[in-house]
Amino acid sequence: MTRIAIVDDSVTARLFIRRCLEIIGFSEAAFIEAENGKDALTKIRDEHLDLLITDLNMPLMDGETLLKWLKTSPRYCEIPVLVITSTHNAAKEEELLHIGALAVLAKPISPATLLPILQPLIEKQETDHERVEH
Amino acid sequence: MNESNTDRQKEMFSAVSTTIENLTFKEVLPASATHPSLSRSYADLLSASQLVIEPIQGEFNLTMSRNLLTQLVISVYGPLLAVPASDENLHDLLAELLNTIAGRFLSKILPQEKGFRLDIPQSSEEVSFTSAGPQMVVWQYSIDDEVFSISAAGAGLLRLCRS
Repeated sequence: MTRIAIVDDSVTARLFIRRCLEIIGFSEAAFIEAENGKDALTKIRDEHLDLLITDLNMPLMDGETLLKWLKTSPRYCEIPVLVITSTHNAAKEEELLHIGALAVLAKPISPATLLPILQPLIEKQETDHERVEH
Repeated sequence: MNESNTDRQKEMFSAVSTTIENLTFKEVLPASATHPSLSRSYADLLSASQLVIEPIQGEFNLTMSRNLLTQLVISVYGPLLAVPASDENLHDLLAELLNTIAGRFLSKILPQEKGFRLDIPQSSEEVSFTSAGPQMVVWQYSIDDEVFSISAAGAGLLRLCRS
């Protein structure tokens, strides 16, 4: 089962992101939701994750700190991290990609903007599903 | 001059309409400054404010009636919403709308070579719509003929909005 963490201090934003993910092919995924970076690190401990999606501007631990923490952790550095933020511009995107983000998207996202970025994960999910069936 | 220039008006309308239409599937239209509902003193307006921290200082404020926000929450949550919509739902949606609108607007009017930072939105209760003046630029829009407003204040932000 595909496991995806969604990290945003807004309930609305988390709901919307999850809905977009379900539309593009992750309706059977297991979702872990967190309100900030610190909450996310607690909830993903000992969990296998296929993807982590994070906002930047959050209380307690922001998304950039979370990204840096994950990318320098031997246990979590392989997790793809997608940043979805209201403070998106070319400079910020370059900075976050340099830290190790998979991609950086501006809010509000849509299924159409998510799909090309997550297509490899959708295909992996389908391959894993076929392998289990056989 | 109290008004933002034409380009800024277009950029703000683009930020507002893209945000609200994507999130709530409701159509946004510009509202006249003389729209009748703006002169009424709403007993039940909600407001969110958000500071711009870098590279300029300023503040955005988004004000909507409780009735309009409730309709938008219903659009966003659909069958997942516990009836009636809670204050927490309303404030959360208002904050997220403001956060997204402010970010989209600033990404258009600020240079792309440097990042910008916003504070976390704060909620408040408001009793009337703010009027434009020397210290504030106000944009008004409507959804289903119900008006809401977004304003900008602070010297640095106002300079950008009027340039």
